[in-house]
Amino acid sequence: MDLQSFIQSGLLESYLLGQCTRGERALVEQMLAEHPEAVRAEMAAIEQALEGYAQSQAIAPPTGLKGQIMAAIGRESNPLYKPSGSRSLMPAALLVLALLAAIAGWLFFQKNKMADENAALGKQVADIELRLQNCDQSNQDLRDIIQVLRDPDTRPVKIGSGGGADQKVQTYVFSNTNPERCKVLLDMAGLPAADGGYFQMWAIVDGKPQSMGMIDPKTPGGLQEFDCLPNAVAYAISVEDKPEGNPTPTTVLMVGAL
Amino acid sequence: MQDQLIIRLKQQDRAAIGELYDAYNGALYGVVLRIVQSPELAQQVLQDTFVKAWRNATSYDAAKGRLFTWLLNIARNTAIDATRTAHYQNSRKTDNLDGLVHQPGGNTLNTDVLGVREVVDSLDEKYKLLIDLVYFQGYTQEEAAEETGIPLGTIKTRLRYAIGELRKVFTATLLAAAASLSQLAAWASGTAQ
Repeated sequence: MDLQSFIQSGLLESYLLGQCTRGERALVEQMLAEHPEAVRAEMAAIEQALEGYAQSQAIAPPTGLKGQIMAAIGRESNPLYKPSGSRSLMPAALLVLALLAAIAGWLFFQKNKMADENAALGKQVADIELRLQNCDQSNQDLRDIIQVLRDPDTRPVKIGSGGGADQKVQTYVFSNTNPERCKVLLDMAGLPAADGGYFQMWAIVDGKPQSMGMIDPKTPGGLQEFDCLPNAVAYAISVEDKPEGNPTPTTVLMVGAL
Repeated sequence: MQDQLIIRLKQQDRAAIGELYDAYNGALYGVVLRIVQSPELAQQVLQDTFVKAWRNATSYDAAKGRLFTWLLNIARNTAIDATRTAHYQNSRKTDNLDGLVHQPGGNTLNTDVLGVREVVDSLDEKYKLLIDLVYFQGYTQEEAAEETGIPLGTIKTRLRYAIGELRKVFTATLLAAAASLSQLAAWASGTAQ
């Protein structure tokens, strides 16, 4: 910006009136640096005009005010004056501060470390608790099964494919046909591999196969429980192509009569 | 002469701040009183102004303006802050400003002697209003435009013109004379240190 336009722009007046934005202040100070005498002369003239105007509107305060103000100033501590003692305390104070800061930092670090360790331990505990839960559940399952096996009304039913020498697969169904404690447990130990198919359990009732549900080879303990069908005379296992099975058996793998 | 004063002020020479008070107390009080409207509050603001000036003497930069401009900015900002406190809002008095301006027995304006007042009074009202609003009351030019309904561009032009007129009146020699007279009056009335 050239000097003339700058002076005509009124920016200097704004600057002196304290009205400038930060950007405008920077510009004024830049012009001050580039044209010190000219800008200062202009500023001085403006300031004189405004000071003169203020003086022309002056109102005298009460005469006692000066004494009051000088007393207040007297009470202000003189920042250039330092009592000799504090000089030597300063480095010591700084040292103590630094030390405290270091200790605080170390404590904070330790706290964070312990928090992390706590978190890790907490996770371990959670894992252990989960395993315990699973154990408990498995234990309960085994107990249930033992109960069924001990029950005098429980009868094993062999299910095999083919008969006699053709019997390739054998498995057992522990069938408790007592209506009050009816349970069917399939022992999957003898089941062949699924081979892409899905095993479905059937009961033969009134000459017709009725689905008892899908067999889940992953059942823990290898013994799967099914809902009872008291009039069942035989059980069968089929291989299906769908995980949800079919209404009638597709390929019967094995049959066993009670 | 100002340079010496500045040096002494920065060296925390109490006599220096006393001399500043002698030279400018009237001009500053006039501005402050017109903003806060209460003599008690204005005196408190004036005291705060000089205490702040004393505390911040080291940060005064002569390159950025004269001592009076620096003092005036402190005074104006302190006065405006005082009007923003809740206490002030609650105790707003509707003082007649005329009564404040012409205080009995002690309001001899030094510049009267030099006949400056008449010259300033001859300045058109519309210019004086703008200088009052923007320079003394701390309105931004935008706020002044809102307050008066005058377009911003007109305000900028008028301010520049008004200051130009004042510059014709207040030459450096005149100001120095006014300041000296003010200090002389203070000495004469026994309040100088």
